[in-house]
Amino acid sequence: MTSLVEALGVGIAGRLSPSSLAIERGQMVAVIGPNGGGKTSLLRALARTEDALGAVSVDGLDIDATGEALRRRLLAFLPATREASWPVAVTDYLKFGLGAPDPARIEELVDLLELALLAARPIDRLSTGERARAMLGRAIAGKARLLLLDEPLSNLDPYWVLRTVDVLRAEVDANDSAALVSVHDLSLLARFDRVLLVSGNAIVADGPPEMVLASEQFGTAFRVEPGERGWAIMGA
Amino acid sequence: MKTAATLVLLAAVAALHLLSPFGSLSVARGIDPALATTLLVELRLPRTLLALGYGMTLGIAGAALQALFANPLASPDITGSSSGAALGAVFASYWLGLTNPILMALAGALGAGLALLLLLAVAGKRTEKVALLLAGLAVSLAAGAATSLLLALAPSPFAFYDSFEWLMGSFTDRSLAQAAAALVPAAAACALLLRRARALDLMALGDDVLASLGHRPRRLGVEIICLSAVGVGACVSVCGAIGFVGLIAPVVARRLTHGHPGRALLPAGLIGAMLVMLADFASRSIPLDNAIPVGVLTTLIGTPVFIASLLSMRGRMAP
Repeated sequence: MTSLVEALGVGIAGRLSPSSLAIERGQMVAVIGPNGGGKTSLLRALARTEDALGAVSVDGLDIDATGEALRRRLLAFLPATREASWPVAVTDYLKFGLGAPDPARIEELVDLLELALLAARPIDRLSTGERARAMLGRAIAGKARLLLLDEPLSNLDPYWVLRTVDVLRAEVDANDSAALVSVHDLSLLARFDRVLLVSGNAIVADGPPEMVLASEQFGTAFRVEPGERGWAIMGA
Repeated sequence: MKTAATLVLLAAVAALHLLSPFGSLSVARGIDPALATTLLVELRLPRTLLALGYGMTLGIAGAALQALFANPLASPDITGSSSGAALGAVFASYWLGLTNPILMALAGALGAGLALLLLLAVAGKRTEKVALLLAGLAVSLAAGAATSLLLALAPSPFAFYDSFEWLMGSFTDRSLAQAAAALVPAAAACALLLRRARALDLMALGDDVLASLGHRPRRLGVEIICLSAVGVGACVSVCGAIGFVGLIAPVVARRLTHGHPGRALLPAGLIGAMLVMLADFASRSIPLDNAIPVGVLTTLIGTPVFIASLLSMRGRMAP
């Protein structure tokens, strides 16, 4: 059986050199790396933004050859920005994540992400953390096979950081899909199946969390090491 | 439901615009029914059609541009197409001596097209939104200055005076041929803009998400700019510039669509049509020796509305 996702030579000029990778069904993959290393570019290239190079197939289908309806089932992308330009109500924002009306799914998401009190409020008037939750809801609404989430845990309080990881795990298990999640908090890596370390515009390490954390590339990329009180700056 | 109510209201305003003043119509009917029909079809109908179509074009183009730039302050004027069309029409009329309405409309569309080419050249191949916005401003200022220059140096000493009423926006004494010259391209542009309404809604999620859903944000941006330029340019070359409607109508329309920028295109068109017809009706009804040009009236009414919406926006950065 082939992998769920096959990416060949994906990259973005000047940001990420062409890289190839495969992602299996049920995998929760963390994307880590220093600022400017290329995490966002990897996610954008996989999401097929206009400047993306290479080719991505999900379930054996070439993404670039699919139209909106099919593509919604294959992948969903959540950018890192929390900006909202228009005063659209939270439930309406969730509906953007669906190709066809599905009130039951919207209700389910409102419960899952505890958005009931915010449901009727315009998304541009929520706090950043609340907006982050609503935007995540939009991205997971369509139950796409591949979730590409750029820093979905930023701006969240500790409860929602842990809760979001659980929600994502449940979605991935239920839909037999996969999630690629960029994260900054290294203490969360144990909750993922696999870690991609992106640095210097390339994927420099790829493997189970404990392996990547112990790798030489990790030290070179992050310039930190385990210390007495959590992480410490290397050589300090 | 809301759309149906709006349509009924629009039909009522259009009927009012077409039939009033009713007195002269019934007098004409008393003399000769054929005279009343001629009056209605040859004189009143072009005026009503132009006000309706121009207003609708301004509303739809304005809503599309605001959705594209994710900014409630964008409007058709910012593409420079209004100014470009005025420049083309002034050149054709005062320097080439053209009077044929079709040729004038063509000159206007050509002017709008040239302004557009200049806009795309200045904004560059990457066609980023801010670059487009600034380039549009530059083109529209340049075209405005060039229009004044052409008028100042025109062979006819009355050019400035003649052009005043026309450039300020007016629907008086336009023929059915002129109405067709403006409204056929405008209707085509509006139809094509409306087909992009859903993609413009999804643009609220950002260009990258739109691309991930299989759309082409950059191409969509260029298409929106071009279609707006063609539609508004054709109307300007026949009726002159009408300010603020393209700015206000979408803001009102988005209140009906719960903030959805793409879904607001059609209601914005209906509201724009109503605003322009009401403004024209008002300009006819004010008993002055010289009629106030419609464009001046919409700007006079529009400016305080605009300032009020700016003030209400300062607290919460949304329309």
